[in-house]
Amino acid sequence: MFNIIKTDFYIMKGSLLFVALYNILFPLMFHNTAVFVPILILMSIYVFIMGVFAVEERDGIQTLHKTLPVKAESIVGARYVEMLLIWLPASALQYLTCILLAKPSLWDGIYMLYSLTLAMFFLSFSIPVTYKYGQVKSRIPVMLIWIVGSVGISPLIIEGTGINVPILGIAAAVFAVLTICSWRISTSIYKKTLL
Amino acid sequence: MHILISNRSDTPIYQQIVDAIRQDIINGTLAEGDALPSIRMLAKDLSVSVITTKKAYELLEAQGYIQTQPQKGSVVSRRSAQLAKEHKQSAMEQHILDAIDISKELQLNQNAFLELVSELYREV
Amino acid sequence: MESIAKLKNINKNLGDFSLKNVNLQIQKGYITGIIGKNGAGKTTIIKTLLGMLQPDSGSVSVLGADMAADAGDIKNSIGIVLGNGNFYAGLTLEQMKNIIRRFYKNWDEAAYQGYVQKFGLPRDRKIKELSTGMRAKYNISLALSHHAELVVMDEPSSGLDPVAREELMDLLSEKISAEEFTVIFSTHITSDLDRTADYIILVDNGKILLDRPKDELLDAHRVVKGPVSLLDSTLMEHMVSHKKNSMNFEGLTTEAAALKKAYPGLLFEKPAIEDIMRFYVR
Repeated sequence: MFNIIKTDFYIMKGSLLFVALYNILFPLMFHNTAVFVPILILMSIYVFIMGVFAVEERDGIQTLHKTLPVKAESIVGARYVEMLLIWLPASALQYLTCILLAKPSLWDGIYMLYSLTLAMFFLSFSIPVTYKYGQVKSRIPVMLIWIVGSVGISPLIIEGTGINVPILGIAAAVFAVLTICSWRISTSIYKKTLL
Repeated sequence: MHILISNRSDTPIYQQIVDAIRQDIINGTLAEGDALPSIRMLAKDLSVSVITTKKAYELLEAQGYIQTQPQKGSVVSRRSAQLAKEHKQSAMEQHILDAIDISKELQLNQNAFLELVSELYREV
Repeated sequence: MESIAKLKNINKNLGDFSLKNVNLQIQKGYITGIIGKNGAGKTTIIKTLLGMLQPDSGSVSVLGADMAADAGDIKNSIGIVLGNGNFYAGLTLEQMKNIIRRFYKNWDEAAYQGYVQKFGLPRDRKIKELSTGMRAKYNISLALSHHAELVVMDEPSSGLDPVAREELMDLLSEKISAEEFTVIFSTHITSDLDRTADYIILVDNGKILLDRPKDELLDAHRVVKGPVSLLDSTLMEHMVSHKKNSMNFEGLTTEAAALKKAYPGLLFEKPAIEDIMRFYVR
């Protein structure tokens, strides 16, 4: 699995640079509202993982993977793990930027959990759908889910009702289980893909 | 040892190999105790299937011309010179029989035929 | 004779095409050629063998591993060449190789560099800029550089010119003669297999038509040629199949000896693998 993750990061290194930049620029630009925190994290995850699928489909890498000594579980699981590996640095970069701006109050650790919870929820649907229908066909619906889900909902919650921590905790646990189920389903879809 | 294989000949390739090696043993190119190339080396050199070289060696071994030891490869057997001699002898006998047939067609009697043989023998 | 791979009672329905009750065994240490028309099922069989396609029923085992159960590890011992390969097009040969090598337990960098030299591969050129031939050679180099015991190739030579194809066959022949090594090679260019293949498997329409040692196959058959006037129903019965034009006919038979006696005036020739395929697949 690590080899797949390493490879994905290597391939996407150009895009990673942009992701890092945005996670520094947006806090700088929108330093009056904390809404940017989850939106940025979610967008970073989306751009990276869907980007990986795009390159994979374009270059026929799924066929390559099937010739390598890697199990299907590892290949598919790598993408879920990559979510965490983007989430953490993205959050860290924003946090550091906020500290530099001397506005650490904008950055609340709860937003991290909130972003992770939403990310798990979106990813649990996006990944199996992308494996089933291919990146090209799924691209638009997936993008809509992420954009509406993050840009649409987050301002309402954060500026409006506020985040209810216990509910967030329960949601996180539920979606974590959902993610594992999604991994299983994606793996079985992947195994049955005709190449 | 040198073997040339024809892919287009009617004779199966394994037979061509058997005939070539046997010929080499008969005319002395291959002597008793000489090692033969491994079936895989031979297959590679002749650009033929390993199954075929294997079959050829098995045939030669069955006929007593070579001996194969596991891990050591194949060697021209001690009997082979003897076999070669016998082979040549029977070939000669066949030629003589053919000559006798022709002499009968020409209506030579036995004495006339044997005189002819002595004459020719002295000339050679 | 040991078998290194087995397909047992394999059935797979792919909509407009299906594998029907396929049974085959690949012998260890030999070159097995799988031939057939385009679309006959060669690639489907190969993908099933490699666990890339799950059969509807039946079992697949390679090197002792059950391929249906997602055998990932066993691929350390299998070198796979599928067409021209799938690679990240924007990377150079060297970069792509470095990605691939990490997956293998027994990567042999010296062997890889040997092939790079031998084939004259441009290490720092991007994969998308490679010619078809170079890409095919690159693909093959990667498959032969991790101490594989079994090499499975699906149409590896369609991108190669005849000289390069001969180079490839010589290379495989060399490796087979030197070490414990098995090759499975599927192609529609049958001439590549004429000299060096040990076994031939003919696939047509999802079924195995023939599975025999190559030389035995070629020795048992003869191409029959003659004037159309000699073509009668008895003769047709003793041929696998035939084709004719206004002047002559041409067919394939396993009864050449008998036919020679019964029909003087016919011409008999030893077939090439192409002829076997042509007449069995009519």
